[in-house]
Amino acid sequence: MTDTAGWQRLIAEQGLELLERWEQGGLEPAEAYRLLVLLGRVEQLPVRAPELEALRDRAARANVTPRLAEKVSLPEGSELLEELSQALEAGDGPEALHTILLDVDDLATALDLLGNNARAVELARRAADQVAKATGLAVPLSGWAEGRLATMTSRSAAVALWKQVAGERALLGRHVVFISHSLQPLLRQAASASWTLEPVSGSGFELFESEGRLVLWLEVPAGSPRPQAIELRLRVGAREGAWSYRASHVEKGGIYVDLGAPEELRQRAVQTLGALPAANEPLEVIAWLTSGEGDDPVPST
Amino acid sequence: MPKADEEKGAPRMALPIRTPWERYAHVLRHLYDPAERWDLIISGLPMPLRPRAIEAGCDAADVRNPRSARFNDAGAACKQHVLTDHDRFYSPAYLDSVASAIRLRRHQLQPANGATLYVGDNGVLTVVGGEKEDAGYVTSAFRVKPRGVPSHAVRQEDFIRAAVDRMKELTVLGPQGGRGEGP
Repeated sequence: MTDTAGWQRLIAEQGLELLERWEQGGLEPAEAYRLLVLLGRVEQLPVRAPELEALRDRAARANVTPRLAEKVSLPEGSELLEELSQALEAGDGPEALHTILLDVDDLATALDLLGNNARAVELARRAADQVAKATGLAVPLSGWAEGRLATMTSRSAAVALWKQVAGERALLGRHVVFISHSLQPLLRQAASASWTLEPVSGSGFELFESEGRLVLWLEVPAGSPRPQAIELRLRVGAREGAWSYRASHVEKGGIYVDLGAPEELRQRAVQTLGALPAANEPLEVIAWLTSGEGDDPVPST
Repeated sequence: MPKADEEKGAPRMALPIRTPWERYAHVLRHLYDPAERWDLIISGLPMPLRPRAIEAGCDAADVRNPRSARFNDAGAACKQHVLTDHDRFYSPAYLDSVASAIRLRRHQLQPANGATLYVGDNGVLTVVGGEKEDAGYVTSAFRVKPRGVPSHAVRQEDFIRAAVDRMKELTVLGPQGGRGEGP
């Protein structure tokens, strides 16, 4: 359920406070831009709310919108799109990505209010295209995006952007990539009291130690949905077991997985397999990545 | 570590960003971003930060364009420099943000993932994880850039207002929107 009333309340409270200060001649440029965005959001609403009607009427009587337009320096759409590109490619956290998406939304909303609908729609469309190309990165924001869509009419300029983000939810649970690496030397070393890890690397993975913990870096092919979970599956002959980790950090081209202390990894392997493999037994270690949430089970295709 | 019986999302003191590679990434992306103007809130912050990091051994392309930076590829001197900046400047600022946000009651629960957002009197928006291994740890901290004003004219008050506005917006909509705490 979406709290559109909370959204309207935010607009009304902040809008009235800023409008009163505007009428007293006291808004700084950033505040003037904020008021412009809030007035634009009033126009987007699909329903009429009395407190927002009052805000709109009061602003119209004072001819606020064109006067605000003279006061503010609108952000450059191209700069916002570049910042969005940075946030998407860097795999920044959902809150930072959300913030820049809202910056784009704000500008589209302000442009729309000022009669520049074509520029506003184009900005939102280009931002939506970027989200689509960064498959899966905006999945955590899809619920919020559905809520935002409920606060605007279908004619609002920012619709394309939030429809794209809301649609990202469809990517959840998709099996993305299958990677197989032999981590047998690692497990054998981990069982040793005098264990020290030499960094291990191979095609598409690196294994290193950081602050007493084992860290696995796995390459993720460009264009894959953002992995959120990893399952480590061990197999020795007929014995097989698996457990899951969260992908703790995503950066360009790969993810980091914190495997814990060496002893924890060894104990998990022992619990899963019953015993560590004998020296002459081949141990297969497979990492499965999914774009599913948390510890969702990984499809065994 | 936070106590297990603490109410989910309840305000509490936070622990620094958990892993070195996340610290590295966040320092490059946020502390070193001149537009975030950390110099307005951290006294003694050695400026300019990016050239300083390059001088310390970081790759210029990674510093200027953090999206291409990879922790594993960074040299030891660069890692040490960036992680020291985390400990000396970045983490005190974001931990102070959490502490003062609790005093100011300026925090909101993010219902979608159990994280809590804080905006302290320094205007840093700090996210503290609420689930699994992230619980109690800072997962992100950044300065929300005020828009509608040229960067040379931006004021600290603009940063605070922008962060508070975004915190409210980020938590008000969504599947369980409107369950935030604080103001």
